[in-house]
Amino acid sequence: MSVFLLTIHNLSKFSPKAGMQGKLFSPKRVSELLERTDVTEFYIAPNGKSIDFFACTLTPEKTAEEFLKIYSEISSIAYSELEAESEHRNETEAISYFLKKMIGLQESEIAVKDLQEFRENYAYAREQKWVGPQLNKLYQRGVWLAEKVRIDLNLNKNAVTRESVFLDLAKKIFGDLKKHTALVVSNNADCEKYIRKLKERGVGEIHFLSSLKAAKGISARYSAQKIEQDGLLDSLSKADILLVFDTPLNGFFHETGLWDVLQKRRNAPLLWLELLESGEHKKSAIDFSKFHNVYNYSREDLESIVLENLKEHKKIKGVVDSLIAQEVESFYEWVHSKEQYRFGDIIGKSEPMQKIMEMVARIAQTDISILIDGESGTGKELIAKSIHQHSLRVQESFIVVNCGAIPETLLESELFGHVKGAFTGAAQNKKGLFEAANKGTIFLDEIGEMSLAMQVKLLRFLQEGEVKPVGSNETLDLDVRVITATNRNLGEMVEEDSFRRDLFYRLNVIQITIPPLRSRQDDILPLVEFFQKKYSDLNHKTVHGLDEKAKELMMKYSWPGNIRELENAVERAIALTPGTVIGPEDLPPSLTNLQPINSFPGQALNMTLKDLEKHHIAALLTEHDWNYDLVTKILGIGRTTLWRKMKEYEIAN
Amino acid sequence: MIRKWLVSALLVHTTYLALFTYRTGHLPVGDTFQVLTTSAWFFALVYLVLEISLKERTMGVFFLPVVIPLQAISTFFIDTEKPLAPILTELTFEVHVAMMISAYAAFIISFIASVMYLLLAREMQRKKLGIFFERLPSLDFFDRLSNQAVNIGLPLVSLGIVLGGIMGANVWEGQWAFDPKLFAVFISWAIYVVHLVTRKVMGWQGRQAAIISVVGFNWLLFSFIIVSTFFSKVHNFQ
Repeated sequence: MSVFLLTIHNLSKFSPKAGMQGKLFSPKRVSELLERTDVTEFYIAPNGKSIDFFACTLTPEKTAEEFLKIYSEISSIAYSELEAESEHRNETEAISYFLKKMIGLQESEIAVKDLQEFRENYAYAREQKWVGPQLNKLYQRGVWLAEKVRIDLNLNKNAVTRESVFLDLAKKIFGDLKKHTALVVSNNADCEKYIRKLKERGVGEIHFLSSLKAAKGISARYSAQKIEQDGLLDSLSKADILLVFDTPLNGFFHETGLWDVLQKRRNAPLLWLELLESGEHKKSAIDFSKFHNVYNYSREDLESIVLENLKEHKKIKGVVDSLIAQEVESFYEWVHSKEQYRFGDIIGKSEPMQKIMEMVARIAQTDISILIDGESGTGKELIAKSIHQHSLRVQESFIVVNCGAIPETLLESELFGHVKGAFTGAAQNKKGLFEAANKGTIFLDEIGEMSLAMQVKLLRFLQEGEVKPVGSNETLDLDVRVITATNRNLGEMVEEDSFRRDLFYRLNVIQITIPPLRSRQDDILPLVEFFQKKYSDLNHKTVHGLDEKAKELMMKYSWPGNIRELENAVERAIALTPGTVIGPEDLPPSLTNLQPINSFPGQALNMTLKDLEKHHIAALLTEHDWNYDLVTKILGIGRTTLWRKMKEYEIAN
Repeated sequence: MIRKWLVSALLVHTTYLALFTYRTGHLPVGDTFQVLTTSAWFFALVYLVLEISLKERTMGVFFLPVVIPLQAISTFFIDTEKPLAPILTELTFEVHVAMMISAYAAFIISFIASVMYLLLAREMQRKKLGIFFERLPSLDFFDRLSNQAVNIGLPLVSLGIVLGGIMGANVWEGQWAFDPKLFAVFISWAIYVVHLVTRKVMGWQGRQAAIISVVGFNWLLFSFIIVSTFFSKVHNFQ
């Protein structure tokens, strides 16, 4: 397996018409490209003027070149032209580029917008089924890394572009910008960046004086109020933020009476940016000591702040780079280890599981409440554990409590602890599980079994972060991340008043629903493989796998007990099998003695009710030799109804 | 963690003051020691409430250094033997002192907010963004906090002065107007009136308002400790 990345720059060269660049890589062309090369996985990201192809392939040496050649054929663009504009990265370099792009590290600061775009492009590639396990893995790690960089390393703490420094200044002076007005005087297209920043922070009004051609577009995009020269003084008297780009202010001063206006409003704080070209600035040196509340910054001032911040930024960036290097290394380790459908301990190839893995990566490092739901045996605890292991709390304890297994009367003292003498038999102070989990994570399984009284206490902890041991008058401040799970429908329980609505909303900030195994057949074989390895090691047996018949049975079975049942089945088979390959006779009888209805459980899921009905009627008729009396009795319907249905479904002898 | 210490200290202090009130039958505002220690207690309490309600901890660095010396200085004046002048057990007097202490607490808040305003503003005007820029909330936050504190403090101190005046008229029969302490308090009242008027009428804000608040508080400190200890005659009830 090998990875390469191909970037083609200057797309406009190949498609001069603006907005037509997207056509260069229409889905049709892309799928043709994929068919004709031996690329196995593929991700494509147009970003303005250039486009990135990220691809996994089996033949590293020639693919990038071949790829370009075939594309040149498809698009009838000369190969030499394409080659001149293309840039080619391989392996480690390609992967770090991919990860950096995900974090948004390409720019000097993390660009949230880039990240957003990346995710959208990725979602599209997934929809087109271009991506596979390798890219999924990289994507999941990238999501995790991006969150780590954002939350833990705080790379964006220091502004490293002029416009972000400007915005930081504005926020430091005015706090909330909602009630403030900005005046932008500019014939420089650069001003759009500043206007965008202001708009993003919700500034009250933007007045815009400009003779730029693009001015109209800019005003429309950021709902800025376009003014003319004669409205300048009026705007000036209202403005709290003044951005002057390219008009040296000296002459401007006397002509417009700017000076008078300033003197009149000198008491209110004013942030005044003069972003002139460096030479011009000296001409407009104004004595600002007269103005108590004026904060005047020039382009050079902003630049020196940026430089200062960049030093700090570089240190963090170094850490990020080494993290990326680690990721690349562990990616290759993973590729060679064949554990391709895993994220931590979670195994799954199917789309819903891939999405869950991505979700885990995304939320692990936050403290957000998570509710996991899924049938019994689907691995809710494993997901919770995986979240803990990818969080910043990984060094602290992870405590599992099954609320359904502890008698209601004991649950409170188990969770919150009790003091000596709190009740008969409480001879000693006892720490609760919440306290034991302090700084770590607590996983409350079967939360639906919790009594209403306990729910109040849990809610109190979630809101105040404090618990009160039974019999104690004092509360303890604790920092515990709570993950809950249930196999009941809490939403319904809320409607029936057996679960508190407020607690439900508090827990259900993010819900992870694990689908039952029968609806994700793609996961069965990877899971079988995993457990087969686990139990053959454990039992010192050499078992290589399942034969075709056994595999088929595994795939057909509906697994009402989900992964737990599957694990037990595999364990049993390994213990029983005399040879090195598991056959159908080693499997539990529930898999082999299938009722007719169970013989298509897999398809049954994708069937409409009508299909099911048709299938069932046909099966019964065949089984009972077209004995209509018997079949109508079994089905509990009249003879005419049966006839009608046979006609409708075109069932005939 | 640090808040825990503050809360425990406050609890101990509260207990002490409560026991004192229970034992003596009047509020602990009778002599210099009592006034100082009660002020220290009240300021700390106000700070705690502010910290929790505004979710802003940075002010503690400036607030607690005001409280701790106050409490330390108070210990020099402990004199449990001394009987209280009869007027000092009256309800009017207790209300008078309580109002003055609350007003001072408000002025301290205004002072600290103003100092932080000035520090942050200076950093920003010098264009070398450092620790204040990184840690403190916005100038606007401090401006509003300082102004609101003065808006609360000024009516309190005015009422306190009027109450004191009424009592003084009864006790000192007319010669009290020229006492340095009373004079000093009147001046600090005037400073805060100036703060209010320049703000409301002339639209001063930001740095100018902050400077007035700082001046006012410095004067207050001076009149509170130096003048009342060394110069005042009638306002000391020895």
